[in-house]
Amino acid sequence: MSAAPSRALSLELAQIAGEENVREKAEDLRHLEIDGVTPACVVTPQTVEQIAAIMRLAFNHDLVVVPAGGFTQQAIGRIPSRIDIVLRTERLNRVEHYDPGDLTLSVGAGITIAQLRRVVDGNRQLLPIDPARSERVTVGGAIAANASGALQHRFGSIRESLLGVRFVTADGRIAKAGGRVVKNVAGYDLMKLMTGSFGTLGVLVSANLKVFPAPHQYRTFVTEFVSLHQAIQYRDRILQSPLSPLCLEIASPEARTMIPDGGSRGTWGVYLRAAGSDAVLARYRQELGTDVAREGGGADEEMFWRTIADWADLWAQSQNNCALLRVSVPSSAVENALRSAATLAGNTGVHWGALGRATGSFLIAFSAAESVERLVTMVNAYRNALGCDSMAVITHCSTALKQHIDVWGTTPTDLAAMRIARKALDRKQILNRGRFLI
Amino acid sequence: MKLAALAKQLRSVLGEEAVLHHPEDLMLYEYDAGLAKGTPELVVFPKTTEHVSAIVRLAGARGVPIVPRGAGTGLSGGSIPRQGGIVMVFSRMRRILEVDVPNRRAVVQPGVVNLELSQAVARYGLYFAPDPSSQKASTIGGNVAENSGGPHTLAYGVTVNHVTGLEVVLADGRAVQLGGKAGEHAGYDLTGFLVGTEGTIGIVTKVVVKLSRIPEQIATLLAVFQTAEDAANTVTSLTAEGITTSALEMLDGWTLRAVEEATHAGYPIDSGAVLLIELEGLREEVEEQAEAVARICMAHQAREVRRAKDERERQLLWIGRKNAFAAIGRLAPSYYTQDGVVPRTKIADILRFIDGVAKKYGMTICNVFHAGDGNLHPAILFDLRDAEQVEKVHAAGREILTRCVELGGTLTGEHGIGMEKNELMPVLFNDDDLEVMARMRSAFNPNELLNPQKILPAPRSCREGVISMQSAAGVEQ
Amino acid sequence: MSTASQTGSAEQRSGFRSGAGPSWDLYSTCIHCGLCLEQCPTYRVLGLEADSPRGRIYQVLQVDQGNLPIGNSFVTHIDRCLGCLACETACPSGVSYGQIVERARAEIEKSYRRPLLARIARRYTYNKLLKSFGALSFWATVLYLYQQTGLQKLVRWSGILKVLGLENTDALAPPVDREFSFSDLGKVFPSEGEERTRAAFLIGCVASVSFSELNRATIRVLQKNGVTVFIPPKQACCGALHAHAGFRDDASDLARRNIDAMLSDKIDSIVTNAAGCGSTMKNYANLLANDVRYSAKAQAFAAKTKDVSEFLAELGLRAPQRKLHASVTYQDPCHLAHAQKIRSAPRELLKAIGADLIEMPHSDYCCGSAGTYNVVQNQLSTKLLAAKMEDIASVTADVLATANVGCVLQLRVGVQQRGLKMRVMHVIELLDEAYRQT
Repeated sequence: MSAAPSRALSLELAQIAGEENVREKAEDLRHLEIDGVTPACVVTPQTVEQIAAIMRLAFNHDLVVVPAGGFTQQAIGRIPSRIDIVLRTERLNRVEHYDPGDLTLSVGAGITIAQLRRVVDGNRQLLPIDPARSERVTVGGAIAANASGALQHRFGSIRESLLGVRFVTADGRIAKAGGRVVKNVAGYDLMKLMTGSFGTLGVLVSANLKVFPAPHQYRTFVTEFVSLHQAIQYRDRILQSPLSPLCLEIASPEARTMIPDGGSRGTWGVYLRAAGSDAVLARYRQELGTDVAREGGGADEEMFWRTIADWADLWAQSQNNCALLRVSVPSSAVENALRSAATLAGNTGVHWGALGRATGSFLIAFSAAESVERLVTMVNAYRNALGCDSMAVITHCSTALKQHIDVWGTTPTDLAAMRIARKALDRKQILNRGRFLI
Repeated sequence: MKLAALAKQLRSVLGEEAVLHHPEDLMLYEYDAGLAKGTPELVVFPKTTEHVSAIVRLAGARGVPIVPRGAGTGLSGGSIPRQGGIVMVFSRMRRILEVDVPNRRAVVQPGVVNLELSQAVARYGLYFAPDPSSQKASTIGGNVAENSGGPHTLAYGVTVNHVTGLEVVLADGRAVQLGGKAGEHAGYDLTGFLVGTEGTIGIVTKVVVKLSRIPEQIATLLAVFQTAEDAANTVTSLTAEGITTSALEMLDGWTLRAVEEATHAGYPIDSGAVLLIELEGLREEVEEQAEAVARICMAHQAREVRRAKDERERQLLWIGRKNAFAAIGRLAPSYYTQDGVVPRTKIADILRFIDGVAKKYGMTICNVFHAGDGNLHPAILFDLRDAEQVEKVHAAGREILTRCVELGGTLTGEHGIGMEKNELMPVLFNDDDLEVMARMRSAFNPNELLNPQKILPAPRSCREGVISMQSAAGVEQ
Repeated sequence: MSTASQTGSAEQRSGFRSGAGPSWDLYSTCIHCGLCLEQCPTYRVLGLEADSPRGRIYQVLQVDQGNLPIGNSFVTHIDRCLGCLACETACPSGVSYGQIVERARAEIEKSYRRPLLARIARRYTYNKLLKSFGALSFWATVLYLYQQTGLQKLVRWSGILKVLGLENTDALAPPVDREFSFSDLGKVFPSEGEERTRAAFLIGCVASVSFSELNRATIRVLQKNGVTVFIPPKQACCGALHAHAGFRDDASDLARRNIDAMLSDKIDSIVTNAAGCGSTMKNYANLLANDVRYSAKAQAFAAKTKDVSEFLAELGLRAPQRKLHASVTYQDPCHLAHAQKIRSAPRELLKAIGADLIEMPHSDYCCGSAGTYNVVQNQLSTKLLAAKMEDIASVTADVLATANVGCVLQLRVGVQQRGLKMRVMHVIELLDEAYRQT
């Protein structure tokens, strides 16, 4: 399916990035296959300037480029018709600047979240970004996919911590926006535009981020309920209380089977993570009252939250023929969104589970052994049930399923306006051509 | 009247009362809260999205530029017309369309006043978090255009962090929806991109905002220091020790005296600087942090740390802070406020630098600013009627901003670039950076009829000419 | 660039020729920050910068610089100002807006020719009617007869007022009391119990004919509190309406008459129950600043002047025998809250008699009465009243209390038109009721 680039082109790439950093043999490319499409070559440049040169080359020859970090989010997107170059940013993994006193840092886009976390841990600071597979996912990848985790409840999604970006445009210009300081309204906020753009507007090369003082201790309060409605009532009670937890997750009974929370089978779980002094935690106990089934802290608690972050991956690995959806609905629609999932899954004979922010952004997994049709029916029916002011993007599924269903679903945002933005920064659509929703 | 035919068309769409064209009416829209001036040829007052679309279409057909305006409280000339044309005023498009309490969202028209929104939702225990000093008068539409901040930005973020959806009229007159009430949506975050674009990408006609919960406990502390340096070092220590204040404001001695005279808030007039520190949240958390704050302040030679006893005292301290700039107006016939940002570890450095600049030019510079996020507002006192002083003020302002950028900071933290600083953008951004931003503008605003000549500098070839023209205008003013 | 002060210099050819107009040092303190805009009633209703305090000051500046004639446009916008002074409360720069507008109006009276009818009416009202209690008494009797003989009902029924566009204005005409306060001139009312202090009482011009009962109540309440009340016989109208309308010379005449009539060593305080009168009397020093003979006396007079609520709160109210059982919402009169900065005194008095005080939203927004405003700017006034009634209707209270006669009249119309079941009362009337209940 893919048109191999000419030998001359590989030579040019090798000239730019060094021969050892360009691969075009089938065995080196197999693991980079996306929806059955094998890239013609992969290049791993060392510098931003090399990336710019590669993009100029690609732009001039109309080559389709897939920017990639840890290759953890590449399942997201429509089936590409052709991939000429996979452009890996993993070598841009330096901490370019870290001012702990200012709680800000600048890093290369290729650094992994886990590496970065270790850097800030050393200064007793907290990185408010906790996506799945943090050992592999890069900062650039997390931004491009707008990946977030449970800490989103307190700190917001990645867009709220991104102070500045540097990226290479489709035609090879190195541009930046924003800055290093926590408050800045100079120039257009291209950070917001880049976040969640899935590499269609430029190749991210560095990011400036905000970090926070790390709490001295954490506690997690696990609560379980026989009905979804009770779980939502408990959530509402917390939202109306003066408490401001770090994390507030809801887990469906099926999802809980994968979480080591010691819970009883068949019940809904609500996980609340709090931080603070003994007095503050005592107040949490007082407010949460007798609903709390278990409470934990220390290393086990750390592990517990890692498992929660990686939950959907575990599901996908353990189940054949499954679709993972990233859902976002307004807070008051969460109960309906979860109830319809249960009802529709029951009707279509689909196995399902959900876990995520109790306030509206969660992952939902559907699996139907061997039956693509049932999954298609399920996803379509589910999207209809959610309505238009919501998101239900497929983040993982088989290529076969993608042939029957659009991974992006609907959006309230005007598509023509999105096309204007795309055209402004990548008029030939060489970045991730055919994979995005416009 | 140049635009007589357009005015007639607009009247037939908007009604007689909604179009102004007499010079004595137009002159009221040539200023904002800053110094920039520019007179429109027509002023229109839309009431609906359809009105805005119609105005954009009719003006577009004749190549007439449009500048949107809320309450005209901006400080960087964002709402000032540079090429005549139309000023579109949102003072009559000010309905709160929906308050969604369970989802903590409100849907408002752009002319709704910031504080009015907070007052309207207070009965649900909610408020709109961005709190620019102009919040008594400034509109949500204006806040969106300028991405306004305020003292509490430190904990809660600027306007963009509180907007989840927009309705926008694009240059072709089409009204489009961006985002909505949910936290995330598929596709580009055009909502986030649009906030802060000062009407150069589209005209906002509806805003979906997040509402925040009024915290259980608020503690407001006033720490009094002998020197500004001690106060600055305290800020660095508070940040380093992990104290998460919701607001951390600094006022220097000059400002204190002016503010005290204006508001009688109880600020000590014989000190070098004060920090106004606010902590919010759970009662237990606030009490612990208040103790820690007092300890850290005392360790930096604070003369005293005072805590507001009740809501009245708290409000009084904040009235002093929020009215600080206007109170500075008592000290001199005129003043010029800058809006630079530095990393929080560089506050003492920049204060020393500003002091040096003041000495060098023989001027008084008051400092009152959002210390917690390094957002400076040096106010340079001068007399507008003295051309020599005006020139010095411009030079001093440029020096301070350039130094902010050298220290790792930026040109504006919350006032916006507008027409005040667009020619300074090259200090911060190189040609490629600016080219990419320009591409975004020309993609959405191809004929540059939406708020022309704002944010981005004139193309390089004409830049020199513009700068010399601007300084000539400055002398005149 | 943001700077203080609206550009301007005194050297240019000023449009203020008579010397009565505002000067540069008065208006240059305005830094056009715009914080006053939303506090201005006319701006809120009309949304026009020209009808905001900042806009009016800018127009004054343009006149002074010779860029704007004193013509219809200027006069219209200056006329529309209610003089509520809410903008002075909002202004952080301490701009004396009231002074600026009064002076602009004085200039208008000198150099602008109003239409003939308006001229005759204004001259008669301000130079005759409001300067002599005799003329006032005559017209009040006419009005009384109009209201009592059934003529008013007949006229209303005939619909003629609608045809003449006077319908709303008719509703606003004060109900004229049978007995005018003029008969009390020269009397002394002894204190009840031990004399705590001695006060001279201003009966007021409009109040004397339409609120003589309120005046009686005020005297009773003062007596109850150990005050000996003098009604100086030669007192005159305070001059507020003249000063606000631009007749500063007439206002100065009245000020001198009142100083001669009321300032005496035997009297500790000069008390009024009308907020507009109080603010004007406290401003006599400014009005007569250039009068060599009177400036010192004017200062002494101003220092002794007290609003009745301020006076009683400072004196310490004697508690009534029985508490008043009523829920009360309080409307701040502009000339008390903004002009005299008195907000807590009336509230303290209400609480002291046991009233259950319920705050309405925007209690310090103008009701639209503003002296003669509700007659001369009837349409605007009606809109302001409608907005005020929205706020009032949002709270539940038995009594709507305020502390100024003009506001009482205006609010009664509002309550009646909206069909609310609230009694509209002056704070003093409630105090009187509390003392008189058995």
